Amino acid sequence: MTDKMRRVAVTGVGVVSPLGSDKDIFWNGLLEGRSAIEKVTKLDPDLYPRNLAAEIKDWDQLPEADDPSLTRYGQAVGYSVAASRMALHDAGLEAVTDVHNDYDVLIGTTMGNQDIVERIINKYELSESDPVKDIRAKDLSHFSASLLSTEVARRFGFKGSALTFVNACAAGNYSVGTAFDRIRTGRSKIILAGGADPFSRTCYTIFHRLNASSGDACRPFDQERNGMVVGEGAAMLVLEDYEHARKRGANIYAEVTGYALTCDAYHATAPHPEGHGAIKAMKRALHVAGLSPAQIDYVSAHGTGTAANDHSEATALHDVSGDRLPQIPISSIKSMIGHCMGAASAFEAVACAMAIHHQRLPPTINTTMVDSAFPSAMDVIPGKSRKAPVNHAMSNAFAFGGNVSSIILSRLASDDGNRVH
Amino acid sequence: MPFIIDEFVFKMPGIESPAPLLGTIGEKPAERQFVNYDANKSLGKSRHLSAATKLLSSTATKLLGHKSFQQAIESAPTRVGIFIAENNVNLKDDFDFDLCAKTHGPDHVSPLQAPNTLANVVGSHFARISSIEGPNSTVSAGQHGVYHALDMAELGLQCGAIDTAIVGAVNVTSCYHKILQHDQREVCVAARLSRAHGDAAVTLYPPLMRTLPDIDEEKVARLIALQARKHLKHSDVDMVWIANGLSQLDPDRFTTVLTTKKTSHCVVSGKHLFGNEGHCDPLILTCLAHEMFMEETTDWSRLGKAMFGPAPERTGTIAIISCDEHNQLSVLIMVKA
Repeated sequence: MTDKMRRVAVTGVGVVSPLGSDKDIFWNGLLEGRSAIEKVTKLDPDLYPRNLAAEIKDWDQLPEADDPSLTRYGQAVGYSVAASRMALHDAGLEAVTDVHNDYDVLIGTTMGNQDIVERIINKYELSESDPVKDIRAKDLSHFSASLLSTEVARRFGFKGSALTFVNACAAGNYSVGTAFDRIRTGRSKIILAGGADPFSRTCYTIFHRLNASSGDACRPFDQERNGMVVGEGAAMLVLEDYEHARKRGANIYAEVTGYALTCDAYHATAPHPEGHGAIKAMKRALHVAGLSPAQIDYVSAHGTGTAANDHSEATALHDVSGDRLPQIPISSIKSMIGHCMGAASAFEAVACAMAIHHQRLPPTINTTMVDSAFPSAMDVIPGKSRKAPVNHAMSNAFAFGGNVSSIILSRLASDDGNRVH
Repeated sequence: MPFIIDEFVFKMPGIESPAPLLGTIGEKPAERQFVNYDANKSLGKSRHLSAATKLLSSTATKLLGHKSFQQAIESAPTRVGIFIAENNVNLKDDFDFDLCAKTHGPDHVSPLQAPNTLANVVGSHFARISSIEGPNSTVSAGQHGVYHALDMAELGLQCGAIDTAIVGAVNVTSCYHKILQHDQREVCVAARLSRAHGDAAVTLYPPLMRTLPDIDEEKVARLIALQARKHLKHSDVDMVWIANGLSQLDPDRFTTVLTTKKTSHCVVSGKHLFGNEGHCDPLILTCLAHEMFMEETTDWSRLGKAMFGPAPERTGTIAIISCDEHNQLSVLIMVKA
């Protein structure tokens, strides 16, 4: 079946990132190993003993910040619109002129428009004894997470379908993977796919109460790791039917070649300790891409920096890659931009596309000694970026509820299937 | 690729499977909200679970009754996928969690309540209690979520990722939903789907989902005809069932337009059957159409005042549609062999 399917190209990327809201600033920041993590400013830091965050700092400089039509929406819609605009510009698709197009919008999120709830609680001074008061419908009417995608579709003239995945921290990968399936089966020619999550008190408090947040730094896979850091933002990719992209002379960063979803079916908030779902997702994604584990040149890990996640992921990677694991470069960009929730794996997909395009791998900062309790040594790229041949990159994303996803991006192959360095 | 419904289950206050859908969905229950989402205690200890999680899990668990399906899960747990359509299911949980955090400080929020703020935990909990390890997807697309869930299920079947899909939709209500005028009856419906085979009695085709510049009866009729031609090789269907969209479509005018265009002669309004419109309705109507198609002789007149235009002598094709204020339109074609 795979032979008959269409190829799926990445032709544009856009980010609203804690490192800066521009794809080159984002990418160069990653390569330089720059941290966007600082003390939280969007909440009272004194309420939280571990009070770091990776916040968006340049929102006021984006045109969407001054767009009055966005104020009634949650910040997730604003971030989605801004990142989509940049991705379409990058793809040379600023003006969608075909009014009968079948282009889709797929956006993943964890908290969606939760900031609307928080806005209402503050505005109406709600309390537990008076939790409703006289909330006006218009204040709550833009809560639905579906608005992230419908509003992007409406603004940019996309006439296909609009869908929001609410699969928490794996939602960005869900969007990219589903877009891959839809394009390769011929359902759509172009899909804007990605993820968005703004900062929220609820999200920050969840990780605080689960004792999952770090008070000093995010150190994925390190022996001394002590937790994750909440981030925010949006990342969007333009995925396009390869032939369609080639005909219009589009710049192609990479191809999406594999994808899989599984479920741990284990726990509401903890990953399976031996990474059962992750093993199955990675193997299935490799199968879809027609690759062996030995052909993977780079792994963009979920790598949150929590004890449970990193051990589970390291165990799963060892199961999939076996003795070759120490030779596979791995990084977690969460060490620099925090865990951006539903946007996290979309940022990581952008990073993979850029890594393939530039043949350069972003590092994992703060990690100095990979945990010896892992079943195998791992090449967690330390400190600074590394030049490396990258034909195939795998990106993992795991979520509460045990929702697991892996996607594979590959260097553009010539029509005879060769990927030449 | 066409697919089939192997089985469906539903649950509403006072009524649940195996009762037939027709005749029960139109009843006006005294309660719109469940007193107990899991009266049969099928979920064990469930005090910390959200209303939506309890309702979906206790309903979809009924699908596990078939021994052959249980064996299929046991032998290949990743070959079964779960696809859930939601719309604001965690609205009250979000308010409760954040009100507690703001009022008492972050240290006083129960970590057990944290998952309830996430919509995907609803379908994930069902995966856990049923040991289903395949794709687990939760989609939010307003009145179109069911079509997307069906589309994802069909994609999984077509691409070979799964052999069985469970598609579910759940609606819960609360004081906050009432502000949004989403004070519909609480309901859950879930269906087990697989690839169509040669002797399938009823088949479904991948739905069409589109964003239009604006919605009117003419445009909707044209897209129904397009979708019918794509799958049926002719541009008409016997009946058009409106799951959502009576704010955009007048059923009388719509019937006239469809008749003029020879797309159909008969329209059925879900709102006239249920009393309101909700995001679960496309799946409820799909299951209802399946139930009626499976009857030996179907008396379509039982749809009563929900039917506009004359009942067709023979009904073998139905288009189920939804449209909304965001100019989204979805069309699902069902065919009786």
